[in-house]
Amino acid sequence: MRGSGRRPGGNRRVAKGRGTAPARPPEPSDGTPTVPAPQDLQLDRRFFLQRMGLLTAAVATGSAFVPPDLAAGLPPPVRRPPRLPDPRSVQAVQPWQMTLAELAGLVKARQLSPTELVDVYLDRIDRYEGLLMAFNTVTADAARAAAQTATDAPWEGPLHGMPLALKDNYYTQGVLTTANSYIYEKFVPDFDATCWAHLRDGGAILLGKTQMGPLATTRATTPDGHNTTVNPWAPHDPSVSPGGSSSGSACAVAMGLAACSTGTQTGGSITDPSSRQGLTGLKPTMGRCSLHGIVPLTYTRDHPGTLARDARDAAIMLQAMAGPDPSDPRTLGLPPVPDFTTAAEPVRTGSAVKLRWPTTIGVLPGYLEAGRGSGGRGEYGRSSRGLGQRERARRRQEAQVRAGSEVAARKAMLSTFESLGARVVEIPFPDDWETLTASAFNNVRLPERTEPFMDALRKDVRLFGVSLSPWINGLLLPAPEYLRGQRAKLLLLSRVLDGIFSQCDVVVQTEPYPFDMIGLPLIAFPIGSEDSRGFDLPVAGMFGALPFGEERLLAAVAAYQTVTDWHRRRPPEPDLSAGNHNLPAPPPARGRVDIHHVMEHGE
Amino acid sequence: MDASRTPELTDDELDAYIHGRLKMAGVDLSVLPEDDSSAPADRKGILAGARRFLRSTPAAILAFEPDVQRVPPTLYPAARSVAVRKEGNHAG
Repeated sequence: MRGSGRRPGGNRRVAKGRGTAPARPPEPSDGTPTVPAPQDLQLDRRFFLQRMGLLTAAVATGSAFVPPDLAAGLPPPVRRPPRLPDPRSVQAVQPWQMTLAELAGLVKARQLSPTELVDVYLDRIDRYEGLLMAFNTVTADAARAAAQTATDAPWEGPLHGMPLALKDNYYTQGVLTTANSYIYEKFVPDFDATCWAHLRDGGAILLGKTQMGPLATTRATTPDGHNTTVNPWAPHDPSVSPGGSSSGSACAVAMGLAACSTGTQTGGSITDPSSRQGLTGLKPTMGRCSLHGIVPLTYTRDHPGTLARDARDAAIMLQAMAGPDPSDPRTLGLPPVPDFTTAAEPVRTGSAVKLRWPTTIGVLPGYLEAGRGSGGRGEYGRSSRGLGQRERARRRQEAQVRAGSEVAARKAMLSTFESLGARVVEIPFPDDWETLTASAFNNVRLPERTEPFMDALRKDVRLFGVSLSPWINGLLLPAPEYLRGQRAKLLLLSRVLDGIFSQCDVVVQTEPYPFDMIGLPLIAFPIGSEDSRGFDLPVAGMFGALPFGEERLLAAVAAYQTVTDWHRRRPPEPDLSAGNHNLPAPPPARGRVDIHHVMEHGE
Repeated sequence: MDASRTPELTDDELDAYIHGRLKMAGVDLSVLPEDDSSAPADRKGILAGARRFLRSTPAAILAFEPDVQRVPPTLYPAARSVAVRKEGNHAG
């Protein structure tokens, strides 16, 4: 690592300067078309707060609120069709092992039909679903019918004929949408969530709806808290968390049961399961994707996103999902959707892979010290309450081994980024960091989840099953405290912009907080493995970026994944033979979470 | 940022607040078992969680005293705060 607290590279500083032109990206020598400077360079950090103050003052004084047309000052985005991998490069790989981009290349070349692809995934679901419990609903017949239609139709784009798994809080017309909750256990929507409608219009096929934490809290469980989805890296041990709450969406992609999946994130629910299952999970900026037709959890913090095999797949998904939606005012008046898929294509100078844009990576204190999480939270279902001394000691030993592996992986990851041309700088925590990111300010979200569910709360609190506690607590926070929490969010954003992003383009993160609180984009991606429990589990890195910095995140991780293979590693195929007694029984024998876990680990 | 001005509340005081608020909102916890750790939720656990929440959260938030003129409440800090720059002219 070089330097400490230094400002980022010259190009970026020039680009941010008042009255100067944005930095030009390096021209690749292999003829790769370039895309304009990433959107985070075109949006001026120094005016964020001034603008926000004007807007919120207008609201506070009752003035007419006109959504800002943030798109007005940006050049119209230039998009081109994505360059898909050469089908010859994947001939030795089974379809279920391929990335979505690789599959799209085969489908485009008519070397693989959507019908064949759907059958591949349905066969694997038939084989493994009883063990993994990734799905709530498998729409096999409808998927086969849609695949036949796609097979007969001309190729429309990278999602053409791609079988996807959707988290079960996305509305799907005519298909049960339960959010793993008693409240929605018989709910069949009469329209599609906007994000799913965009994916479907791009040619995607619904393969099924995935298991999740009840109402998007905790790891995937039944509504009353019994664990369902297992981590496919350790299917024999249900105490190894699959991550939550998009547990089934991650499992489906990690095990090759779907080409890609969607999730939602309010407090780590995309990045956490992605981290635990070796996937690339992208939580976009608040407003980048519509939340219309998604079961709400927290109005100001819910984010739709994707859990993918790699950054290129995530870019293809986001390209379809993003954009303004008249049904969701959070998406209106924002910067236009840029060319994510081109941003996530590798750039080479000669034979060397380079970052698409000059990028400075900020490293916060403690990141290279043992003991910081790999982008997740505590082990759901691994409470230490009631354990004996020997077991506690064993778990401490495991934690030390895991922490050592995580630090080694982080150092190697940063070194790899330096070899790609990144600058890595140490930066201190911004002022008031500990206060503004404390759990009290995180708890400000709770009234937002209570309000839309008041009817259900008044009807019968048992409908909330194991998730009831935060809904009750949300009822108890007085309005002045709630509003003061919203002020704290603005101050926290100003600290992040001035204290972090004045010195770097992306910043390492170990937890989804506080970026989830203030709506900034995050990406989690695999960077190593560890075997503290006697079997390999993925180790993840996580980057955060400026508002609308998804291109930056995708470009950086895509370059990293061009020179590493952690994202290529898949869980071992489980031994399902009758003689293998090392497999978990169905719930309730897989353990459970309780109300304390839900309150502590959130969503 | 000083939380010391908020007095410590007793369990009885907190329970009175919790029950009053729930009654005002029409939310009935009596349908839950009183004390059953095997149930998805029980009254004892819910009330204990609510007391912990009330002891930890409101006071810590009120101890934060921002300049109300400079730090307005903001629901969507990232999405609604971006100014746009265009060839030296700031649209914001």
